[in-house]
Amino acid sequence: MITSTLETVPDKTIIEHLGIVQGSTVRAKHIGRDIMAGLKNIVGGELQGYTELLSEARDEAFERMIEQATAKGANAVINVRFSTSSVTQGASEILAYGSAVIVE
Amino acid sequence: MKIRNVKVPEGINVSRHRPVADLFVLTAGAIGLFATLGLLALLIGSYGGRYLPMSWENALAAAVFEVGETDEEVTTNNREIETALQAIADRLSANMDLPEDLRITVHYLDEDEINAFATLGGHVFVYRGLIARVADENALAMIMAHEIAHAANRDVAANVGGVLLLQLVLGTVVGASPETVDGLIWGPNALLLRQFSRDAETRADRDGLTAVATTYGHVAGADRFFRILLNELGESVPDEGPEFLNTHPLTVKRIADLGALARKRGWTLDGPATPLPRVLTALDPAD
Amino acid sequence: MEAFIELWQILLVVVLLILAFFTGRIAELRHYKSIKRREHALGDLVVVVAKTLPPMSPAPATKLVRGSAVISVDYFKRFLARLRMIFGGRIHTYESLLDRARREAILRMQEQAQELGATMIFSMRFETSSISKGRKNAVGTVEVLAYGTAIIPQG
Repeated sequence: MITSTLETVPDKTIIEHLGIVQGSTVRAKHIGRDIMAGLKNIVGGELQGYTELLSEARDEAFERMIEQATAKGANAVINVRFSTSSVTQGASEILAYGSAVIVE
Repeated sequence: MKIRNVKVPEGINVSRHRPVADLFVLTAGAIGLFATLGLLALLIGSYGGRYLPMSWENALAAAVFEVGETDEEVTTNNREIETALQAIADRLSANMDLPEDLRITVHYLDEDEINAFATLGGHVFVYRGLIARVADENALAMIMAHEIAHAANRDVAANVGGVLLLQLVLGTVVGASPETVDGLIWGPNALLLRQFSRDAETRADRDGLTAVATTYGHVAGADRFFRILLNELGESVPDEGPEFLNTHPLTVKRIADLGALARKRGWTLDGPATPLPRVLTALDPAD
Repeated sequence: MEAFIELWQILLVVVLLILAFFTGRIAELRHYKSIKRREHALGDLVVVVAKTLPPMSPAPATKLVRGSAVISVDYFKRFLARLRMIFGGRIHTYESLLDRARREAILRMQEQAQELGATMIFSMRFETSSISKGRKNAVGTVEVLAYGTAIIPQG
């Protein structure tokens, strides 16, 4: 599966557009991490726990998007976008979406 | 270039799970986690409280009582009664193993309640209702020695430390208010804390009895207080409930334990009754 | 008396949980049914994230279309999510909330495009926001906006 944020896949032609594919997930870290992050907030710096949380969630959202593209019979997803939102405090929602295409 | 829409199968972005099973597992887990955390906080807090330097406890008590001292009732109450009670307390504490910086200060409370209690910094409070119901100094000395033993054993500090840390932990983790935590501790379900404080009660009984035996040469009247209590309870609280539900060990059991301890140590159960100081005999429970 | 109040409060939570479980489930099933029906009906109106249009003649008209939906989560799901947040991990109950909101937003955008006589939507974008965030004890609510360019063939 080719994935790209570009409009096109270099050296390849898009033969067919199959519509939008999206993957999303909602995740939270355990409460201990939240408390540690609260303490870390005082001194500042990277919140390792949350970086990890968001990166894991992004991986999963991306995989789900690929799963949809595979189900559609696509071999590439172009114009991929990520979007992050937080539904409630301490939880984050990651969305990955793009255009499923068949390239040659 | 062709453009067509292909249907996506369901359930890629929504994971399969069983919500009801999830609910039960998570609820049980949360209760278990918070109970463990709470118990840990209580244990560490009491341990810390017990081994806090006595001077710290005194400073804390001074700060608390500074506020209380403005209370009209406390200051205008009979100095004479307090002096008489203080004399008894001083005699008892001379025969007890008190921490170096602990000074026992007795206060008198003009209310009809058969009770006495110790608070931070060695402040012991005695109610009028208790004094009016005891026939001689020996019975009063037993309960006062018991409370002084609580202060000497640092039970009060342990209690305060445990509760404070519990409030802090539950407040941070679940956002519970101090009132909710108090409800948990003193509510009907606080079996653990009761077990915890029952051990302290038994120890205070033992230390108190020892002090009484050393001071008066006999332990007559020591159990008299509990018999008075038993009588009173016999009228108002017929059923004390199973033992583990009570903060204080069952009164009957306490009398039996004290008798056994006295026999073991060879303390005589009868001896001359020391009369109460005159200021104390004049008190009327119904007043 | 205190014990009675506590018991009463716990009972209230249990009753609300049971009630919300069934009503929430019915509402969700009904919504999914409607989503599937409309998705099937609008199946020919393709939504694409890519920006480059295929060569068309005569040149098509374009118009911005958008659709949005605000979906709230029920008491049961919120309760479960709160518990899950103690231990961390995937919050299953919010996934369907977002899935529904997103698909509903696309559908509304497609319906708008269909009224304009469009055959496809290019350069679609999503925007997700939470209107309840920050307010304590507020209802877990998300707003999803889908927008794009409707391609209306001419002639």
